[in-house]
Amino acid sequence: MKILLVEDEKQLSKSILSYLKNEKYTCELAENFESAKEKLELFDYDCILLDITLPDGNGLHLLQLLKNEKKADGVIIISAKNSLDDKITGLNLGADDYLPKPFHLSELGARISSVIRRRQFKGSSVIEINDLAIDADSKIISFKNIPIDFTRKEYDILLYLAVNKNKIVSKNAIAEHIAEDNIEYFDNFDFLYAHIKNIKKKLTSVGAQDCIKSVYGMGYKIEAK
Amino acid sequence: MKLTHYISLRYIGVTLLVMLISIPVFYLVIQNVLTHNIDEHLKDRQSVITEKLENLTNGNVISFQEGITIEKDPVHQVEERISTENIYNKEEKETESFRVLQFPLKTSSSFYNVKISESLVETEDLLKSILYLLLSMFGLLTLTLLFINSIIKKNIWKPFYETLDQLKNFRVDDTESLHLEKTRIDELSDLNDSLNKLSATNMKVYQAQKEFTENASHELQTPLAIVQNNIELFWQTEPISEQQSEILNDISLANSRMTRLNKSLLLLSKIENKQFNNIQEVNLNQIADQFLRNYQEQIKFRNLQLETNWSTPFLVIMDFSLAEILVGNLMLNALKYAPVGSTIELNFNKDEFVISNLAEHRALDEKKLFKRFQRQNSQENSTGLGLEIAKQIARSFDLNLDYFFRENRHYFRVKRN
Repeated sequence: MKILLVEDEKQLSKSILSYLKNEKYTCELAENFESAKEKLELFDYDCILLDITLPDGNGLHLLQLLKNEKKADGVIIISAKNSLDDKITGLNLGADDYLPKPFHLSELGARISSVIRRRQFKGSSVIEINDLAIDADSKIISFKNIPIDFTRKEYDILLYLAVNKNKIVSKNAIAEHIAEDNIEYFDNFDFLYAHIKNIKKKLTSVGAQDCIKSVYGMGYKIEAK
Repeated sequence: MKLTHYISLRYIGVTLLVMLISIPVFYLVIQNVLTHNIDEHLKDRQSVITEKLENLTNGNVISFQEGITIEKDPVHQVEERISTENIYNKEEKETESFRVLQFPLKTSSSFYNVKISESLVETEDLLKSILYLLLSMFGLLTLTLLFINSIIKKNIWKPFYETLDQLKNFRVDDTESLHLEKTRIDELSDLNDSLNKLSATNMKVYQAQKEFTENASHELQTPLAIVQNNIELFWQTEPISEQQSEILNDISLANSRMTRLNKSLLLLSKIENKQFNNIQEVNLNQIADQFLRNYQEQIKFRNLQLETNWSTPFLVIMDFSLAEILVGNLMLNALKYAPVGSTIELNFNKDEFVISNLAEHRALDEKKLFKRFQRQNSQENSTGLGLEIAKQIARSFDLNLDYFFRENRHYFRVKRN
């Protein structure tokens, strides 16, 4: 999987690249509008992470360019502006997703995986992990072909952990992932603990091994066999 | 009231007042002058009659003119006096006013009582004519005034009204500033010049503010993102001790809180600058309903009961995402502070939206409630901006958000102004 990161902030791009390389993606970096344009003309990518505010141009113009050339690359806008106008314009121009900065790297990972799934597998986007099959289209999780009845939030949590497999995902990142913008209204992580408890219970009840590992003081992770 | 109408009314009022005072005065003065004239005339005739009677030789007094009565050798002698009398005229069958002069006269041969009368009909007619003339002059004057004013309004005030129209439509977030034309009237030209300058400056300031908001957002979010990402990278390194992981967790939580604070402050400044333009008719019931759907698991988790009354939709013209934030903040507030197992009440009608939750303690301090960073308790995770944001959103769209405490419940109400 090839990913292009268009980002002018060096420290930020460094951390993103380091994370993505860990995820076994092939990554390239473009630090300004011109070099991004050149790379886009020469190569195809599975996913492009596009910062809108660049020193020599607006990232939205790159999007326009891609659309004009009918390239199929998936695009995720990563913007610090968090302005509704940019979001709407970007999505209208054909971006697949919009992620305002700052974000959790695990969230970025989940979004990239979702974009690539949609682009590559077109319909049969099933993630398999430890005999669990997560069908991202029908939103059904099954263990050895036995479907397990998860609630929407439980499904979200499990999928989030699955795409970040073998990595510790912080409680905070999971809570923000399921609560979106309203995280500050959760008094504590009780709600999250309850969900994790339910997920574990449901998994054990169908005989699936309890693959969610709690990491003390940090969060959770799914270890793939 | 329009300025020209205001001026016209003042003009007419003053004219009316002057007329009301001047017409009776005028009438009395003219009447006096005329009466005085008649009296002079009567005096003249008195001396003529006196002379004639003194020279009368045959004692025959019948040959005098009409309006003169002479009584020869009366029983009582009258005193000389002049007065107005109403005398019935048999021929015309009406009462007429006369000015009457009576006086005694003693000649060498006899005594006489003489009475000379002169009709006042003509004087009255004259006075009436004058009065009509005055009234019609007043009418004409008023009409002329109104006419002049309407012409003034049409022509001279026209540029003023054009300026007013442009001002009404002016928005500081437009791309074009005001372009008001020069006029022949100096004051209006000055006004237009000042307004042009004012609008241009305001737009510049507004643009600068808007850019600052966005730049501040950009500048702050990037370092926050770097911190966040590096914490996560650090997390994945091994080995990592329990102590280290707890420190990382605390840094991460503090960073998230800072991020939310930054977002909320940016949102507030955007609301204050009215930088939202997805204005449409929003059904707040629908938004609340959608919200409940999204949060049903949390509601179930805290075993909260909902009592909803959606009698009529509460429709408001406002920005859609701000409407979501307004309703969301109030509902999340209720969800957050409602004790486990209690009931949340939602009431909608066409002019208001009331949400209430059971209070765990006492009433909240309304003065502090909607102020920036005023927290009513020490919830670590909250920014203390949620209610202020809700209040600001309500205010920007002509709604009123208030709080009251009744029967141990907190009530938040959004009401049309």
